[in-house]
Amino acid sequence: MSAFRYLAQNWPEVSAKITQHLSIVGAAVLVSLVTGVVLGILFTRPGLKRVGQALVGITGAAQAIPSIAVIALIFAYTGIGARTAVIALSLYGIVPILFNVVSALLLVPAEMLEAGMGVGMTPVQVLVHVELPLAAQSIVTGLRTTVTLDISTATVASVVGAGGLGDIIFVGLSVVRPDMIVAGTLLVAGLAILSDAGLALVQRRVVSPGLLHVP
Amino acid sequence: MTGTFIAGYGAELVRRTLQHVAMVTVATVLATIIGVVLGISVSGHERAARWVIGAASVLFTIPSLALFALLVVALAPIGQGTGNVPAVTALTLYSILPVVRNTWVALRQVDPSMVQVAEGMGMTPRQTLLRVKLPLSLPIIMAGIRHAAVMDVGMATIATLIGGGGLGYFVFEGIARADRSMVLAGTLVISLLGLAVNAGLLGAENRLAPGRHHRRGARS
Amino acid sequence: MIELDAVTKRYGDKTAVDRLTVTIPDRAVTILLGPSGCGKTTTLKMINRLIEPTGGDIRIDGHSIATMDPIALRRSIGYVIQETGLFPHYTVEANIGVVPRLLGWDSKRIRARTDELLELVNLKAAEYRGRYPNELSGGERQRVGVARALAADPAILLMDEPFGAIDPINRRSLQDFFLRLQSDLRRTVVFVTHDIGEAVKLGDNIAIMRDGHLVQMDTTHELLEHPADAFVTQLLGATRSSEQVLLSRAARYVDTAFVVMSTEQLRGAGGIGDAPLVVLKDGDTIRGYLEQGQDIACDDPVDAVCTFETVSGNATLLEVVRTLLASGRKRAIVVDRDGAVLGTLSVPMIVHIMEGVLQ
Repeated sequence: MSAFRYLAQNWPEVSAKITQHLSIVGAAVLVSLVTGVVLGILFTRPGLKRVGQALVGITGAAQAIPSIAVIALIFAYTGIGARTAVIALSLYGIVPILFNVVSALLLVPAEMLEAGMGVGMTPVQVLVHVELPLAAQSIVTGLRTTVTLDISTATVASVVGAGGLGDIIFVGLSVVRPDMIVAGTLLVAGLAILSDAGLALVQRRVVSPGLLHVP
Repeated sequence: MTGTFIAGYGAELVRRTLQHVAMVTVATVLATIIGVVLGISVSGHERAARWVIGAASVLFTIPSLALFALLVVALAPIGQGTGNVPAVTALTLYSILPVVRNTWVALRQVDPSMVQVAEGMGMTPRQTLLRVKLPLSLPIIMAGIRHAAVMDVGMATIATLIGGGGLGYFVFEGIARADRSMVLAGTLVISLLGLAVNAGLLGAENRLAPGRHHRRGARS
Repeated sequence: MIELDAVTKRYGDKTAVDRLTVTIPDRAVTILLGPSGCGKTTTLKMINRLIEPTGGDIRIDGHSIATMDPIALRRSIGYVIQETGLFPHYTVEANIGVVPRLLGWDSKRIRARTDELLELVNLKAAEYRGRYPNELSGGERQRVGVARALAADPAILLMDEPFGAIDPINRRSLQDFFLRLQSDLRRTVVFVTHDIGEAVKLGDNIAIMRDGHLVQMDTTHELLEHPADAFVTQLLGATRSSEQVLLSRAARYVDTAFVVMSTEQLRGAGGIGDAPLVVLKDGDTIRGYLEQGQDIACDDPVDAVCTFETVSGNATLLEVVRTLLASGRKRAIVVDRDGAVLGTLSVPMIVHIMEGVLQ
């Protein structure tokens, strides 16, 4: 098909765009993940639980604000380009992860924590061996949401100068070249589907079979 | 500066807001109809459900701009390649997943003893569906519709890139012209719209929660 | 032993435990019994320092636990709570091995110990070790919980209403299982319950608490016969009635005035002499008994041997009565797990016990 011909003919530029796109998303996801998990753990420790509960409300409501709006706003102040795209995506990507981490950790039953302490685990051991495994499924779900969000938004961001695969689609739209449009779409869609499927596999590995519903 | 902005763009702002709302409403309504009907039809069949939800998930994962662009290409032959038609179509396709998935999950989670009681009273499968299963599934289905609507508010911003209307105009034009107040106006209205839609539908969802049912007395 | 010395716990201006002083003896089951809110669970949790006392001291074998590292302390005490205590994301094997892993045992030793414990709680190791808690019934989960508590071989076991969430039928078999286990292992057990029947059935000693105070601490038998005050009497109220006394274990009330003889010895002696009762036992087989005052009219005393029922020491008096009434035999010979004779019981004896308690 013409789309494949386009890809074949322009492979060097295309692969450069793929790399660009992946670097933006990769960097942003990494920052969001680390920040979200660390803050999420921090704000569910005894003493800071109130903050955690408030955060659940805030991040829950924040997810009703379209990401495009927030990111465009950040762009308006930081200017366009790949670096600011990473900053904007990192910031917004923290929201789904933080929401999931905090709500999952707050949901760990008190009896579990007591059982962990009762057998003589240190607080760190309780976090690592009890709390995090029980929250794992939710955390990976948050990660999936952020990754999908970032891939999608990065595509749009490239339209405003960040580079990446959106360029191919947008140029294709402006000069009315269906082969470019389809090529760009296939690449982006493929990227999104593959990463989501990959994370779904990770999720199944990470979650203990004992936590799924009674067989 | 904001004063002049409002004076200059006030009318435009209102017009585009209405366009935006219209796109979102049409897409959400269509997605609800398609999603609920699909959800009901596959609720009894494991394999069919997996296919349908799988397909919808794939559509859902495709980045929005890509889906819009794809529809531009697909609809060009019939002359609907730009403007609101591909935009609304994309929005609808995108929104089907939350609705279909929630409908299917909600129907599956209905307490089997309720269904047995209904059948025991002599209801036909159709009556059981309409009078027992759907009402009990309503809160979860509403949550799916709400999720879809809120997403649509955001996604509709991109419609402007393929020649549609909507508030995205202020966002992208504002960035291109480095006009901060324009971007601010656009994003502010979009955010408020998103929050309003969420709050409004959340209110409706809570009204429909089973607890409320009991307080109002028996419903047929 | 565990000494609680004027132990107090205050939450703001509310006192949950007030200057509690009690000594928990070694190698026996001590029950903390009382209405909800009396402070029994709080007291239990102060022993492994899940809750820190506001006043007083707790000593284990003379050493104050306040000076010990709480983590090390908890790893040396077994802790069983209701069935929610098992980690749902760990297999049975991983659950049981939690403390050994924390203590740094190597995996071979942990696996051997896990299998040993599964056998001990009557769960086939090969079948159960890879299962997850959500695949087990409530009773199985609770047995795994007990196995987990015993994994590091602690001298002390703390149990907080462990059988509370189980249905009555399975609860009974779990209680019987616990009694068998304890008769083998002889740990120091502190057991919290609000169920008087359970307290009487399982406890060697009972400490009754109310509003954070100790009301009475005695052996079970003493408590039933001599309640300290009106509150205890009322608490035991239904328990002190004939039905609940019948839940006590046979081993506690047997008539121990007996002598064991083999057939040879009996024939050699030509009769039972002055012994009030002779149990005729050849090796492992009990053939019967002969009572003082019985009419032995035949040549061979062995022929006059009375028929009997055999009951376990862990059976309740109620079961003994039922067995005797159903078979029409006069006496039950009470044996322990290895078959050794603990004593005898008869229906008139049991009636006498009930009367004694009710006075």
